[in-house]
Amino acid sequence: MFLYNSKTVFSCWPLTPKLLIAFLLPGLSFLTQEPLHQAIMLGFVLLLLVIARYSELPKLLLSLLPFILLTDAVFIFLLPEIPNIFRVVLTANLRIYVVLLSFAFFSYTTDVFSIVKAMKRTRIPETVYLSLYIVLRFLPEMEQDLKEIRELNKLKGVSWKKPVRFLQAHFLPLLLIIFQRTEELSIAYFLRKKRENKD
Amino acid sequence: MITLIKARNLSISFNGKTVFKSFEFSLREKQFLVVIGPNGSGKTTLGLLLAGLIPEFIKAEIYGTYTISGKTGMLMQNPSPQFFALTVKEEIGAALPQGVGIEELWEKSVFELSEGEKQRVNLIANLCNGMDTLILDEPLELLDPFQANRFLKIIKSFKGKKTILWLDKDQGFVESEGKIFLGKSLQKFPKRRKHSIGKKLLQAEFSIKREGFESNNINLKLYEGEKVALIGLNGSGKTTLLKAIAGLVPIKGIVELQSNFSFSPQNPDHIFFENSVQQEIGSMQRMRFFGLQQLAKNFPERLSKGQKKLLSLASLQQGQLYLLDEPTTWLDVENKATVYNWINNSREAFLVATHDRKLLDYCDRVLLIEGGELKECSSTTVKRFFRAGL
Repeated sequence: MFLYNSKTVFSCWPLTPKLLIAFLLPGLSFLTQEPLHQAIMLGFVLLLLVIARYSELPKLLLSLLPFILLTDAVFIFLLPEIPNIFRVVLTANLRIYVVLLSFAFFSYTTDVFSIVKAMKRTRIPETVYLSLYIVLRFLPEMEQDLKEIRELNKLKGVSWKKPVRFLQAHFLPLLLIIFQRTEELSIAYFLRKKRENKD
Repeated sequence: MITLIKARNLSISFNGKTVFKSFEFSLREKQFLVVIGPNGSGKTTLGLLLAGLIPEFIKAEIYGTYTISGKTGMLMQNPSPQFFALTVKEEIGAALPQGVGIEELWEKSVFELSEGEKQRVNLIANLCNGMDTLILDEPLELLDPFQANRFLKIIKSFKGKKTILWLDKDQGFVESEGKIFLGKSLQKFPKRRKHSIGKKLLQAEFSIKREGFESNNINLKLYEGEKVALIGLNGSGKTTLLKAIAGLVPIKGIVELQSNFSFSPQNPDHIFFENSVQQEIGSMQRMRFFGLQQLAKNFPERLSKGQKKLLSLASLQQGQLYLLDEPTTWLDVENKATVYNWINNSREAFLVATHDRKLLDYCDRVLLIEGGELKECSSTTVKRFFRAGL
């Protein structure tokens, strides 16, 4: 997930090198078929993540492993006639890791609002960046709301044993809160626009 | 003196449902006017109308005449959604105003600010951007006493320089100013009733470590029938403490609870999912006690904020111990009296986190959380707490 007050070694970097790592590296990994090249790229990203002290790295690596092994097994079982099948599968696996980890690096070391600020500087129309900004700005609050709902339902004794009631108790309040928020936000935005128009 | 806003025989209704009827008032330049009305009397609607939102943005039927000259700004209850910019500097968008006490906030980002600080910045941003009239819609509702006093200080320094219309349900915070009543207002509180205190109900001794809050040694004992208030600034850990007792927050230590309890959260939006108020509450007697029988068939989400708060208290499960988080926010005087009555007359134990000073009169003990420490506090400490920031 994106960080809101990120304090990593790379936080002070400008956006461009991080963007290059996040998009160029996956691109490169699709150009080459050599497992060695993939491994070098993966090593580079892993090194960056270790320097940035990404604490959830082992969790990320391990949680992906079962899915990858499963797809590999299915692949090898279905297409046994391809020459060098193991080499192809290994390349694909490494490629998945390169793509995912380079994006993980980007999202872990970048403050989300630097993206919005960059968009603002490039004179992208307000309707584009403002909606992105609002989503990012209010995501933590929504997370908080969901947490609160979950806790209260735990106290009330709403559990998975009654699935319909469980879903109702979790998503109805959340949905209604979202509608309420949008209403508040639109009013606040209207008032703000009025304040800014000095005529 | 120029009259900025003038309303005569004003009525508003949404889809045939009247919000308020034949309301009359006028606002002169540089006047400080307070409009007082109970929950659901249409204060926010009036504010939205005067700020120019209602015919333009929200559809409603308006009867009578009103004239507005000059630009009107509005400050809403909830400080967070009004804050669009990333830093205080960008939000205010002008030179640093002197003598209003936001120098130390100038470079901060939104995520570092507390609710009270956000509300203060919103106020200053509105005042500094050349608004002729500023409407404040219950701005103190979510603030603790310290932040509320700081807010009032800014208002005081702008008194006589700006035109301010304050919409609120209580009149305790301002001294004799121009007041207008929207709807009828009642002020009659029950007398304190002493209850006998029984055997020990709760013993807690634990430490909590959570982001933004850390406390090593919390020691709390509660007896049957005892009413204990919990005061402290916003973010000092009142809610965390209540949640720790309710078992929602991981702790180190023990919480020994001899009976069942019920917990009421601060924000009532998170709980309701039934189809009607009656289904939420369950018992008729309880509904009558809280005065919600007229709303029995309503959908809970359609209620006003204060009514929702009251419903959240009414729909609590019966227990020996009630853990209430800010039970009187958003409530008007009449509904507050109902809550005081309930707390005063019941034999169960209460642990109430609150900013409401009146509520402390109905409690046997007051506890203060400060810097991660929980301690008993005397009436002078309470007095000092409510005067902080002045």
